Amino acid sequence: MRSFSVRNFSKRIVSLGSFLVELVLYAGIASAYFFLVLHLVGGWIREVFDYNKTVYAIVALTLVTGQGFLLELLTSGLLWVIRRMQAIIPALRRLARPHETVIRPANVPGLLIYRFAGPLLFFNTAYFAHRVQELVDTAVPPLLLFLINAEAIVDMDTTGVEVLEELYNTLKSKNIALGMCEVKGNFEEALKDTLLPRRAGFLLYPSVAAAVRELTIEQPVKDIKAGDL
Amino acid sequence: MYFLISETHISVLYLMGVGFSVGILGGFFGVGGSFLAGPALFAVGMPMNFVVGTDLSHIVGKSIVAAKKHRALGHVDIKLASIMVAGTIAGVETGAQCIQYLKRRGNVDTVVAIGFLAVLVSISMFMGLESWRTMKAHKDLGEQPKGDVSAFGHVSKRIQRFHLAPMISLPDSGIEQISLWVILAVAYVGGTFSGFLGGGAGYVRMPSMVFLLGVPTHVAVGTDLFEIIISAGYGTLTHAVKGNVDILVSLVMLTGAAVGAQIGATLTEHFHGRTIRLAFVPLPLIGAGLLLYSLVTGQHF
Repeated sequence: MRSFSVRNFSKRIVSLGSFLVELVLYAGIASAYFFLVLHLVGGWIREVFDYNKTVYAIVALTLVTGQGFLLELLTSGLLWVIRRMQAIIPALRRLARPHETVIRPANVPGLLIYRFAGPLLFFNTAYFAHRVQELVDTAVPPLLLFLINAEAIVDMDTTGVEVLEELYNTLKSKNIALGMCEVKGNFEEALKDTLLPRRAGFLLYPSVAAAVRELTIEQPVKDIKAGDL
Repeated sequence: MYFLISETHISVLYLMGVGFSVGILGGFFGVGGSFLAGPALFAVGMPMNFVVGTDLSHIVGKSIVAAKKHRALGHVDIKLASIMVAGTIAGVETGAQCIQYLKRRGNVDTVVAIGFLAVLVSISMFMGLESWRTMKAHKDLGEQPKGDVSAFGHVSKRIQRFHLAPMISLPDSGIEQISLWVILAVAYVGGTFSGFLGGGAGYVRMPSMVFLLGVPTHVAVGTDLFEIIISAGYGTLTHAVKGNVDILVSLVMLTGAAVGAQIGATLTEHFHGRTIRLAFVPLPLIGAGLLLYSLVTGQHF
């Protein structure tokens, strides 16, 4: 048992929020129940009451016990669903708008490193595409290489593949090369099944450091053009 | 809504509200909530014999909901509850017979209402005294006590030392030894109140379990609710046979009580036993006030 404190009290108020949501859902179900069940059986119960009190007693106890178990199941079930939803919705929201980091190394002009901290799945690919487009459009000086740091992209579905393919084509049309680093796990497997690694100008680096080192030593990035890489 | 059996007009929202309120109190204090539900039904014009039976029947459903929650929290002593059921059923039958006798005499409303008032005020006064003494003892000691300590703890210790075979142990309640007859006697008294005054008589049994048997408050709350399912179930049967139950009213009340009971049961996790007992003090007085108002003015509100 927890001791009483202001902090604990506020937590209790938050947990009571679940009950309030439950209450609203429950009120709807209870209203339907009144009209569908009680209204219809009212006359029949009265007849049983008049006919035989023993039968009425058995029916009454059965009804109240049955409703007790049913409501316990219903309220527990509602609460279970509400609490799961309260846990799932923020998680989905975080996955839909994952944390991101944008780095523009000073020693490699024209390079932008974009770290996207979430799997590329159907509910966040549009956001991913939107963010990339935004970064490309607002980059000053203009970009020559867009490098995706994929260390936190743990997985990808077919919509993710489509978005990457579209991204490659869009960037290519703007003479910007697309590269990736830290590719691993399920994302690496999914990427291997696509044509992207075999596309002209698509770059793969083991790490961000390796990419920056290579781009700094081998050639000035300002000369890099899509298709040359 | 017009209820055909008791032939009374009562708002469905009013019944759900009453059910919800007594559900919270029932889940939190381990009582049937008849000290509020009884006067609340009486206040809207339901005949007292129907108040008693109907209240008892709604308590069955509500206690199922609350006891299941308390069982999940580990607050139910099944062994103690099973023993108490026997004493309670005998008591409920005694109480129900008394009601039948008074019905034949035609003065059931006045007698039950006055009996109700006396019990409610006595319980409230006793709980207030206990809380005051417990708090004073803690203040004198100058430290927060560990566990569920009561100023009347010596009473339960003395009762537990009373040797009358068979002696039994209740590990879930932390009681090493206690006479079976003491448990049955406590249950019988509670059952008699239940049958006579309606409700589960948790307002008598819960304090009795804490102060007489020495059961920790949280366990007393959960065990009482579990026991109430069976005893109030039996009470419902006997009252329904005698035509004192409007099952439709209790089904409507139960829809509100089911949510309230879960909230109340969950709240017990966040409070000490002494806090629960202290919060209990004004509740019977609220019921007494409502009942007194109806009796004196003759008005139903």
